[in-house]
Amino acid sequence: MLVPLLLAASLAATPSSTATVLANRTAFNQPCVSFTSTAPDRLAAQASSALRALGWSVDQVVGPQFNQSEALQQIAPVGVLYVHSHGDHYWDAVAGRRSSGFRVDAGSCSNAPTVIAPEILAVRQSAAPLILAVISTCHNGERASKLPAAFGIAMKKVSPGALGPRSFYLGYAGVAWVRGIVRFEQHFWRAVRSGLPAGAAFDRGLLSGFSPADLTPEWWGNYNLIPTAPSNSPTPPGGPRYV
Amino acid sequence: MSSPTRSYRRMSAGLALTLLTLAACSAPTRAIAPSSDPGGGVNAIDAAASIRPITAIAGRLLEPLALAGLTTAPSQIITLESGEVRIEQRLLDSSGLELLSIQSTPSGELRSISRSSVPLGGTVMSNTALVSRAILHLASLTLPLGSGTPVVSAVGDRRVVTWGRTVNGVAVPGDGTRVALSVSGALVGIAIDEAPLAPAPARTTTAATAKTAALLLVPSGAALSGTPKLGWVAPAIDAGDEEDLSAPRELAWRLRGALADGTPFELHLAAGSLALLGWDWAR
Repeated sequence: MLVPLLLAASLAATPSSTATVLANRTAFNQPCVSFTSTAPDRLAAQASSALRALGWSVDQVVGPQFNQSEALQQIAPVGVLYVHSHGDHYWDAVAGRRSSGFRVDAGSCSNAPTVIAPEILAVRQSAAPLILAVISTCHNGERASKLPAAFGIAMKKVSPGALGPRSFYLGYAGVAWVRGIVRFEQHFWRAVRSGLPAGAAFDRGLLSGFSPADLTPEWWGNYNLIPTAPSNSPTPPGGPRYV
Repeated sequence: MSSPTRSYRRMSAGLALTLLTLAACSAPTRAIAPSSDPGGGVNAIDAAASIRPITAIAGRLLEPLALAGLTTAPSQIITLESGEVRIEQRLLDSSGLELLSIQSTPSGELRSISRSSVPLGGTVMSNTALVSRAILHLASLTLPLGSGTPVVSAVGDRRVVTWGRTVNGVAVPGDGTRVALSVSGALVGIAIDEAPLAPAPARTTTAATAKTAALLLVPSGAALSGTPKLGWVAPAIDAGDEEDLSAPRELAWRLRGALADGTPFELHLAAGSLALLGWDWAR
């Protein structure tokens, strides 16, 4: 009995080489609203593609299959998480106070079930901190967000060149408009794919032409993190050298 | 966010003019060493395009990079989402980490400068001082200064000074000059974007007509707010929320409102025909 438990604990604490990409399509499309939204599929695809290029084994769930139980099951073991959906500080009925999280798709136009920080904590109790979390929603880049802690990421910034944990969290403060999100994330993922550290990729996103009134990106963790999969041998950060 | 006072803008412009004169009179910075060319023919890109070498740019920065031990990667031709072709040069440190990258048009105009590993923190400058600093960075690289009043935004421990592009008083969202800085004014990056514009319609509809047309399109329970504004917007794929950056910007009415659940949205209607060009909304 003890051996399997120890084995499970040891496995759980090892950084995973799997990544999960979740995107809400239903709430942003007809018939829920009068318009077409191709952004969720596009955002998920570019995140998946970049993560695969970095050596991650990616599970992508876009649309109604992205429901609460699937989300928690996916999030429990992963090393990287990308979510595009509605996000806010939702009511936590169990604790009797607000917590942070995001809505799932579940085929619902509105008031879809949420996944909040305590639920994530519960399924990731013995998991290693996420290496990379990109929470592409409103409000989860605010200091009040409980999601970074649920992923094991401290809300601190480790400066370029300094030593720190192998984690990086990206979110948006306040209301995040989707055109700004698409522009920012295009630049972010392109930079990450080119071998730049996550913090430098964030800096690249700042030049992407989003309106500052429509998007306020924020990050915590280690500027220097190059988010390759643990199973990958370290990649030269700037690509091949030419002397 | 804030804007500089008129007297401060005058002072900044004077300072920039001085720097521009100095820059124009100074001898060009030399590259430390030519980059090797294992692929063959790559350096021909630089020669043919007459683009400024990255080592010269590195030496012209207000905080010049010490070039000892740095290497240049061969130039690459890249195509942006907009279809625009650029020539990219990169400067790497001894571990292969990219410290500086620049993008130029094939005709040699510098469009983007990105530095990596710029320290966080430091003495926090006022917005007015940051605008001045941004002007100095542009001037030191002999880049054109943005026009109009810049906006300073605080993003993730960085500051971005933005001069938005306008054409005949109408904004072109996403275009203009952006200078990203550390809070103490060190350069993080510069981007200069100017998308092509479609011809303006022969006749522009009124804001009131645009509002009436928009009300027919919005979902039940949604409401419009504020006054419609004209803007040169990227039409969206399937008239949805994903910009088609390869298409010329079109003159459109921009109308903001909120869905029944309070989610803010913006509709784009062609200024001439009132056809739906796309929309944007919050998550």
